[in-house]
Amino acid sequence: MRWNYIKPALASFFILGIVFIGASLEGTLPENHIKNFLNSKSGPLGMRVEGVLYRSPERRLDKSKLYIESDKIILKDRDIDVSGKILLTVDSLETGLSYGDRIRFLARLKEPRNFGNPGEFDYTGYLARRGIYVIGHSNTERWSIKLREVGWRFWMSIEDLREMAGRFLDGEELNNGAILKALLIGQKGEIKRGVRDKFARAGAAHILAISGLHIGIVAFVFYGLLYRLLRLSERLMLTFDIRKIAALSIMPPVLFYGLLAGFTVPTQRAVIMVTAFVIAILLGRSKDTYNTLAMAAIAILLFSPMAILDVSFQLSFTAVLAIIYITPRLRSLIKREDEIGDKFESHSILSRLKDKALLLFLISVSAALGTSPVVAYHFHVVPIMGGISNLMVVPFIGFLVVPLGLFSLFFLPLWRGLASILINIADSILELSIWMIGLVAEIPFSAIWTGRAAVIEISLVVFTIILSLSLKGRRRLQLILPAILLVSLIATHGWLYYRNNYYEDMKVTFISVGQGDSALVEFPYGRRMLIDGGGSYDPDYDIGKMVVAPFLRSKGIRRIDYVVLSHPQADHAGGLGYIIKNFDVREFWWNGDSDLGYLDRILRSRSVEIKEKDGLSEPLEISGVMVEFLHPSDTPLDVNNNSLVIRLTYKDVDIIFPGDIEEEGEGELLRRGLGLKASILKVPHHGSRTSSTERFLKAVRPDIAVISAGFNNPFGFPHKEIIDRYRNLGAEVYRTDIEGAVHVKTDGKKIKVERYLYHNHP
Amino acid sequence: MLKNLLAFFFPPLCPVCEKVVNEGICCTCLKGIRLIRGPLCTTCGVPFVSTVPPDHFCGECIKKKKPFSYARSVGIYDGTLLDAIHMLKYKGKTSLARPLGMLMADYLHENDYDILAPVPLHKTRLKERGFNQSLLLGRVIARKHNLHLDYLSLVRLRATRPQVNLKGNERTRNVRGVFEVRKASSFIDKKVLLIDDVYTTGATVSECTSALRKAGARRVGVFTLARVVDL
Repeated sequence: MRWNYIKPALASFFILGIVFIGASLEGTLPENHIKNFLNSKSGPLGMRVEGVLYRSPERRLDKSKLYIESDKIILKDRDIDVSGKILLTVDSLETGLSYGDRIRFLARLKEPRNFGNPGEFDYTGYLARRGIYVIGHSNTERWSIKLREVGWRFWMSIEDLREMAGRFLDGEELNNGAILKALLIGQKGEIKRGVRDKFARAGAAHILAISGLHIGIVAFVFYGLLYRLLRLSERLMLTFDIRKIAALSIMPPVLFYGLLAGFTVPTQRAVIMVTAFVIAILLGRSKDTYNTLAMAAIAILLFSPMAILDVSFQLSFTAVLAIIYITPRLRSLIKREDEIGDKFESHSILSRLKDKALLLFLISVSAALGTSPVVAYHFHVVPIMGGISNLMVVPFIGFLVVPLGLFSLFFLPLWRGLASILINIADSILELSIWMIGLVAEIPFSAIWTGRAAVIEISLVVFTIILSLSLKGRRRLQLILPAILLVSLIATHGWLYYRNNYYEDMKVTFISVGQGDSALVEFPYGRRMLIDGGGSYDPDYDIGKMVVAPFLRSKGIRRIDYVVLSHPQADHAGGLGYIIKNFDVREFWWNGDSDLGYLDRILRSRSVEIKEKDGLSEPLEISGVMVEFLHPSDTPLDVNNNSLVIRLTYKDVDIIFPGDIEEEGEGELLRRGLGLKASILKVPHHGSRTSSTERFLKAVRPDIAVISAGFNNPFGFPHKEIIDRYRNLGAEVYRTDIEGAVHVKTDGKKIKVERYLYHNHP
Repeated sequence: MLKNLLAFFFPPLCPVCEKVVNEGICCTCLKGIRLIRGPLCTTCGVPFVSTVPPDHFCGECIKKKKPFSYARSVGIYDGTLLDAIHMLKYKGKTSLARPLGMLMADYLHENDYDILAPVPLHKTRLKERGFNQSLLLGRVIARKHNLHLDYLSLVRLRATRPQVNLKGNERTRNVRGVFEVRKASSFIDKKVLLIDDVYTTGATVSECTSALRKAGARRVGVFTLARVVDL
């Protein structure tokens, strides 16, 4: 073994060690962390806290997010010195606060909590990696007072600059001021939802969040500009290495942009990556791109080891890696480069432009291809229009809009007139690219639904890509090996598909949707039913989109045969709109009580068959499972008590979904003398003491009771006496608020229950 | 410390074959360089097939006297040198200039020159490439031997077609009258060593020599990294 090879290997082990030590250290918080004081006695509006804004507020539609480093809590009888970061949401756009302000505020604080569903975004982990273990909410008038400014002068002036830029963009009456704000100063909160959705459908949503892509393009554009500028002087070219000068001079604009963008975590990473490449060029090692990339990764991971779990980290690095690895290989597949002769042929402008466009296309395709496994793993959907839309959008936005905007903001304090002209040009170009995005967004079938990609599938895809590109010269192998891999990929996928769809069990998942109900029933052999879709009281937080859909997608589910709504109330119906709009729903059942409001419009536009069901409807059989409708009858009752009650019977096992019925509804069921026996009962009305009457429970005699409720919900569900009532009758009680998604599997005889949060953290 | 850290993140690679090395070009690649040894033509430096000394004029140089006093090259233009020069010139791998320049500097024993002058590129070619490879090589030699390097006085007036694709006669015609000395005082009564990357027919360096002589240079020698040899 050559020492040369061993040294770096040893060093890497050393660094890996540091990484893991770092990882384990991040788990310990100081004793005076504010997290440990959340249970201190405080008023109904929450706790009085003092702290300093360590970042500027972020705006999200009509809310603001504040990042506060706390240092003191003020209780009735005493003050306590604390520490720890707080992410505070305020129901107001204009807080009048900025980085460095020391404030005293009143807020309801809590620890962030994941819902606990398979396939969900790990919000708690995401915040923890940013050092945030406490979140809060304030919705009162005059919730805070500003004490003084204590921030670091440098950052304060940067924040002043950002604020000035924001006001400038507001004042210019631009068509796309909100998007320019997102692109230039990283404030994406004001972009209208429709525009955002359009970008998402076209697979170009990533362009709206400043990331490595933006910083990279800015570096690239400025390098090109400076190189061309320096080339004008023959003498400079002869005396200095102008490539090195150009490389070094991109650092100021890159830093300027990074700071302007708020120097968020992804921008910091991008700046580190650019710095690594600049160093490589200065050292004359610019061709060792893999090393440079690895060095950037190591540098980042040394300081925050857990960054490797961040989706943005994974996407940035796989994108660059893919561009470095795939692009040149694709290019050489397309055309053979004639090493010398080519260089001296005088190219026409047209063919040069064609070459550039091809290269851009290949880069775009490579990045999309390379990141697709990561995207499939996290988002369960791979947009295939990404290659095309990025080709149309990245050059315009990246090479024109962003640099023009940066020039404009640079000139803003010096020469306002020029700044105004530049930003208006940028705005017009942006208008054009948004129009193009709109065209791409209209194309149907723009995404592949992959479900949560299995690791084996991801590895197969990666091997296929690498093999088919690396076996240069060995044409036959180049075709055969990837073909074998491709076949095995299809086989694996097929096997996973088979396993997910051809089973003889019935599976029911009570999805953890916070305060609300939602359950997915998977009948034997793959038919599916979604009973209720959860819903939140916050109009900006769509449970269907944020919780139910990711869960379904992670299971690779696209078609839902039956969507059932027990009763039209927000915590049951709220999430269904998104599901009906975005999934292939065949039938919709409900009790016909009052009207469906906006759901009705969506159902009609998606031409879903709507069926009204009640206690008199004929039972039906789905894949060997008997579906009975027990309620409502014709006795007039209120909304909750009118819930559609259904019972599913698979051989010896039966489950009742009673919606939100309360005492009256339960009484009516008993009065009608139906056999109510069921092995599993979804506890009516989230475990409220107005439901689950003794008489009703004695008739049902469940072995298993599942409560679907929100963690620490304001109603106090589930009530303790109700839990006890079930336990006393010998039922096992499961609850989504604490245990996350509850998954029940039965072959018609035996029942197996799994709890997602306990499965993950035994 | 800093050097080691840099070496870890950016391990020094052999610029030719990209294997990890300690410094410069790796042994395997160095073996791929065929150094030019005697006997050779005392004027143009072409090596003879026969291995019997001493050096003497070659047939070409007897037929037509070369304008320069003599020309020497480090190695034969094939194998490693050919690859390296291509990478340097056409792929912009300027990190090769240092090890290649060192090769030249080591080869250069006598030190009887006042001034080094790289063969210039025309402005358009320079713009295309961003650097002049002969200048990069010359800079390394000049530093090693502590010689003065003049890269501004000798200029190329026209953008000529690349010599690579031309035959002997065409080459001479192609570069005729292309070079000129801008600052006449620079070379008056000086002993000049002309630096270039490759010597093929000597047409380019001959033209440069004429221009330098016209500007009053006392003696002009030619030193190239590689030389085309038909053996």
